Amino acid sequence: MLFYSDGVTDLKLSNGKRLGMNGFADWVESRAHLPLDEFLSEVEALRMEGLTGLSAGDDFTCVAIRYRGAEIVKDGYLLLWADSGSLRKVRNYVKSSARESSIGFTDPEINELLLAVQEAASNAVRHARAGQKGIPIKVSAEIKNGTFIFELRYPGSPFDFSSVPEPVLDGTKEGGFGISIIKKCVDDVAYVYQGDHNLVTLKKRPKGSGIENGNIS
Amino acid sequence: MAISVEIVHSGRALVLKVQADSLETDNVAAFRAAITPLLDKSAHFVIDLSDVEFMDSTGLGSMLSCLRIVKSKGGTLRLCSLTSEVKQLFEMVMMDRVFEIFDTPEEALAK
Repeated sequence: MLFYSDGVTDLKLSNGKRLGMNGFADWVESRAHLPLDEFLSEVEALRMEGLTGLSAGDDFTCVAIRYRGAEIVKDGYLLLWADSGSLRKVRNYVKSSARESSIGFTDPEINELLLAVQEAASNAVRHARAGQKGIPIKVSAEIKNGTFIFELRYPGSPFDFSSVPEPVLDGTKEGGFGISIIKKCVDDVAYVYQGDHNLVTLKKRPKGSGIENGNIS
Repeated sequence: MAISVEIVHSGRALVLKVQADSLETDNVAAFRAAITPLLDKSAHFVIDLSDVEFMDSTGLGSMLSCLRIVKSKGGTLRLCSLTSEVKQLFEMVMMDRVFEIFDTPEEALAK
């Protein structure tokens, strides 16, 4: 939620046009996923752009409030903030989607799915912005051609799953298992970086479904 | 999600029961804070995981951390009462070869 004075919408941009309410709404929409301190830095940069060649006479106030406690569930996707408890919500969402489907997963297969989803979402939380909270995560789950497809989309630095080395399994290392677990638990893992968002797609089919397994792309 | 570690048996070995339905990214720091002081109270430990229905790689890492601490002092650490979900994880990454795992606390203590 944003509270702002009319000095914001009255800004004249470098192209000579007034920003206006619609212009500000469009401007906000493309930056709404940013952490609030980064968002406000962008607002400050916008102000400096608008002040070019003009006096600083108009008032300019902008207060940004983000409520991170709620998640949005719509047909086919769940949108929530990466914060304490969000991983459990993602797991519950995937568990319900898998159980309610008629795809025929066994309990161990659902557990594999949850492990893969947890590791992927946990990576999003920890690595997206070096652990910074308030990262929006969008997850979706759908069944297509007998395959459970899970998508995870989140902003932040690129994190390419396929570049992570295999873990040490002799007990001498305490970390590095996450990506290996994902690979073992699902049939396909795909990763792309779009704009400033990471998009991870996991696909899993019930054993004995007769569909060939794929790999990582 | 809250997590605590309770001493449920004291003898030659301490049996520590993890009181949480998950051990994962969101509560692993609290788990480490709860269990680390207890690892000074004995040389030999059994960790009872019967309440833990879900564990991720960070939870697994915390178990390995406990094992490293205990072994560095010449002690032993055994696990018991793993749920089928947690057992599946341990087998998947071959940690069932790294840890001594028992079905019950009594079996872990008897050996």
